[in-house]
Amino acid sequence: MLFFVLIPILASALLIYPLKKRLAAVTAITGTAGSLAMSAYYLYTGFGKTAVQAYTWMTLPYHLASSINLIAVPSMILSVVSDNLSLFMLVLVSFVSLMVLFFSTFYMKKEPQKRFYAEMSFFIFSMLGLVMSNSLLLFFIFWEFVGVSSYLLISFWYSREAPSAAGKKAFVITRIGDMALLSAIVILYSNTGTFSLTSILGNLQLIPSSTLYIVSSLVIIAAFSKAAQFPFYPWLVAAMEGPTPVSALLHSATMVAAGAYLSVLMFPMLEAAALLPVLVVFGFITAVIGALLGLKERHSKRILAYSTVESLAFMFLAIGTANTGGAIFYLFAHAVFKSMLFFIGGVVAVFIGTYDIYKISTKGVKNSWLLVPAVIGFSSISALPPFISFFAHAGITYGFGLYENIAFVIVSFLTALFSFRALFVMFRNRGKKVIQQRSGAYIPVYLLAAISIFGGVILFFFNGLIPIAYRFDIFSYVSLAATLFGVYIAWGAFYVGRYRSVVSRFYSLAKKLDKYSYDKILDRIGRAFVGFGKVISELDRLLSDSFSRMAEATFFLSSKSRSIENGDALSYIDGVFVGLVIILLLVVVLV
Amino acid sequence: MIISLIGFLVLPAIGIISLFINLSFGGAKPRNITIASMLATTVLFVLGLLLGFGGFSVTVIKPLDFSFSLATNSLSVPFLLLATIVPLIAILSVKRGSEGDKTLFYVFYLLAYMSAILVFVSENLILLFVFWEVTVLSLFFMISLFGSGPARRAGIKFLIFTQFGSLTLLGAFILVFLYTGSFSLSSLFITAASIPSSISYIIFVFVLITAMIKMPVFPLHEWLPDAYVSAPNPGTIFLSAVMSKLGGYILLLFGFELFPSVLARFSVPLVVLGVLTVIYMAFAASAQRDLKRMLSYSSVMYMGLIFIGIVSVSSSSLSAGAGSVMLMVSHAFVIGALFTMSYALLLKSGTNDMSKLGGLMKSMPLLSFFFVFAVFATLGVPGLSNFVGELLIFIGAYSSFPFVLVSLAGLLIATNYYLSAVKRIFFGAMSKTLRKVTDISPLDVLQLSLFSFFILLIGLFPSIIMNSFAII
Repeated sequence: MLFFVLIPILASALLIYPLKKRLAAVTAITGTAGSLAMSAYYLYTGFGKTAVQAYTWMTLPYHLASSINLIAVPSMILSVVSDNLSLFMLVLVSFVSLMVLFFSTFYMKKEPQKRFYAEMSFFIFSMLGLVMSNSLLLFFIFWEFVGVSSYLLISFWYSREAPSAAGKKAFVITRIGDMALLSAIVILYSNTGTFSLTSILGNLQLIPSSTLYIVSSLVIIAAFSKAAQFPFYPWLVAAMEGPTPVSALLHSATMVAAGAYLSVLMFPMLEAAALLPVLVVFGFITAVIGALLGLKERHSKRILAYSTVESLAFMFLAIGTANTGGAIFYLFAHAVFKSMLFFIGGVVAVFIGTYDIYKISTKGVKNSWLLVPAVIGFSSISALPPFISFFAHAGITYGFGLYENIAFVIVSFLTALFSFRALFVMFRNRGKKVIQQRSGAYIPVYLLAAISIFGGVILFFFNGLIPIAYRFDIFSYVSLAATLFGVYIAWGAFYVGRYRSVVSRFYSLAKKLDKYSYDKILDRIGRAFVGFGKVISELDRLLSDSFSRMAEATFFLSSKSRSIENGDALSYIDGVFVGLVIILLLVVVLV
Repeated sequence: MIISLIGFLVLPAIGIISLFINLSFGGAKPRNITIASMLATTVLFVLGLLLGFGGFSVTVIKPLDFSFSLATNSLSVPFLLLATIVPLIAILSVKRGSEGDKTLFYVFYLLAYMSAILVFVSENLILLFVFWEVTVLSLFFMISLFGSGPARRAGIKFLIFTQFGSLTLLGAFILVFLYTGSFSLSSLFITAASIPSSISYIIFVFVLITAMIKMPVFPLHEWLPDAYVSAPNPGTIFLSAVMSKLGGYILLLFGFELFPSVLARFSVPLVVLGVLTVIYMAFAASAQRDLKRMLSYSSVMYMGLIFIGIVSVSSSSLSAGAGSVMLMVSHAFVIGALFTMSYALLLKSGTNDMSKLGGLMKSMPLLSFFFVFAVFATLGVPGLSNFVGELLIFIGAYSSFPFVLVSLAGLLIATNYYLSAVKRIFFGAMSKTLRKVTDISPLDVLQLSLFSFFILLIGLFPSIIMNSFAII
């Protein structure tokens, strides 16, 4: 029974509120560890097998009083699937979440609100449920849970303006995707009569091609909004206002990964609808945007956010070139090194007190234990060998044609440039302040660093787990050369301090362009909507008032006309007389 | 043993009589009498669910076929659920000695409570009409006498609109009688087909106008914002949670159960109207600064979704109808919780103007918890009550009317304005004037817990409502 995996983590989410505060972290860690152990056990026992377990959520008997009796309206069936993909994802998600919770014991030590661990547990629960879903309905349920818990976590420090705005932004933008996914589910259900993913994907030929096209587009919108791809990426950058463990969790194996995971699940449909090129095109657009914006950013977490946007774009590139295994392997690699980098950023912020890389640079952190993991992490972003993502890139680029490869070389250069800029700026100077080694920080960092170094080997065995195609060809090495060139340029510009004029010109240009930034356009769209709402509301008030006027007019007329009916016989006779005269006059005039 | 439906008349009536006796002789608190009488009615409903409901019939005027007969039909039970329980929870918010704590208020409240329940089980159309009218009139007095702000004007506007709706309803009933010779609903199920099609069109349009005013649906909603905002809090909850459902009930009964072929003719423009209502109300709600006014518009928005569900139901696709009933039940609890909280907020902070509030999560953690919970429920987060109803409506309506998916944009706008409300009221820095605000009282917590319990119950186990259709 695969859904047993969810029990420990859900139990811990529910238990944290009644329990004492000092037990909160322990409960969450225990729950996640329990889920991890069970996932690992199921992966071990269920390896290579596929099993679907279905539960009926509700059936709809509808009794009609008229001639028709008891027509069964189709049931809502929730099902979970246990196959290599879902089991691997379960292990990955629970493992990374466990690391994040360890880190939280360090980072959130002084946090007075215990709801943090409850919400984290609920978030992990949602993501675990999502990756095991086989019914689209169940998938959507957990998808919404992920959205809701991410909203609560991003706006966790509610008393400040920025986090509460960021949480709202994240939820509203991802909600666009939610509505798209809901539409897709409704349309698919109308066409196939089922929520089951296996049945839908097995009967794609039954769906008219135009419908397939629409549904696939909706799914892509949903995936892009959750995975923070262009044009939806701003929420992810804004979400950096949340606590760092939340960012680490959101960015690694959960929230954004859910978007990529959806596309992997729906891959046969996207392929049948011939929409894969869309993923590739948007993937490249997003990757370039992410790298360029990351290059001008000063906030270390936001740099990492742009890097996440770019990494997710890589996953979509792999999916778009029909190599879903490559996307999953990159998802794994990315989850490992990205959560580690967030931990590093968090540790620096705790001891140095800032996320601004230039301020960090002045205070100096070069002589700390963080230097080695940071080098590993940023080298992983740039896919330098022997780190894990060098191998992961071999999976991504497998299906690339010439144009994709050329574009990817450029992207590789930009990636190296912006990631090593962050590294070189942050770790340029030695500092006086000692960055202490706290177990809550260094255990997860070292563990993930170790996987980043040695995990690449897994690529060669990965095919046994999830079908993957990979290749080291000439372009792999061209990309590597471009990356090294990027590192060299970054070293020159940001470590040694060459090309000053070019760099300053770039920053002044970036500053100028900031006025036209996409965020501001989005804000303007938002304001236009509110403005339109105001127009409607004003219109409604006018309508409403006009009805009130009518009611008042009735009162007014009745108050005036009441005096005519005063019961005075003489005035009645007067009235009759006047009336008669008027009628006579009218008769005379008209005849 | 079977629970006789006459209990739904007797128990609240005993409550009303004891309120009057109490007025002359004193002694008990009117609030306690009211709550006791409503609690007894609710217990009766629960017993009825377990043991089954028994009909009741006494002929009053033979030639007119006016008999005092009560019976459940296939739609009754879910509506009884909301009509018995929601007003009971809502009345808890009237604090002892507060403004609404007057015997007369409780009399009208019980009267509305009783007659709304009886509308859902009336088997005779005259009887149905009588109770329909009693509901309207008691709510009119509740708004006019105990409301705040321009209550008198709001009350009159409410009365003019709904009385017009009652008039068309009466017209429809008379036409039914003229062509079938009977006011009995159960016989109408059989004889409805024999009514000439031109007449059935007129009947349907009459009932449609009634429902569109009652629910309400754009453009006949103009009475609503003022009435909702002016009414005292239990009255607002009653209006939004129960009275609006009378419209949904009568439209389902006449549109789908009695004249499905007529409904099918009209369904396309009506679904368009429903979609328009959703979008229009979503925009109107997003511009409101007053929380109660925003909730009022938002309530109409969801009634628009319900309207879509009702008018798109056909015998080949029942999910939309089932979904609209589910959403009606769910909406009653969700909007009840939200209005309760807006009232609690008004009492504690002195204002419902969202631009003057902020940062209240620090001083009101309990209220914020319930508010965010109810907001998620209203936005259709799965596991909470609105989701299943919305999903069923969309699944049911989509196959014939693909454009219903446009109304999802309304939900998107709703996400924005609800989260803006949360952000404005509870997040951000607390202003100095709000320093002394305290959290809600244990009684409020009880009230909100009850609402939340039902929201969660329906959300997690929607089959409870679904199966209740089968109970007769």
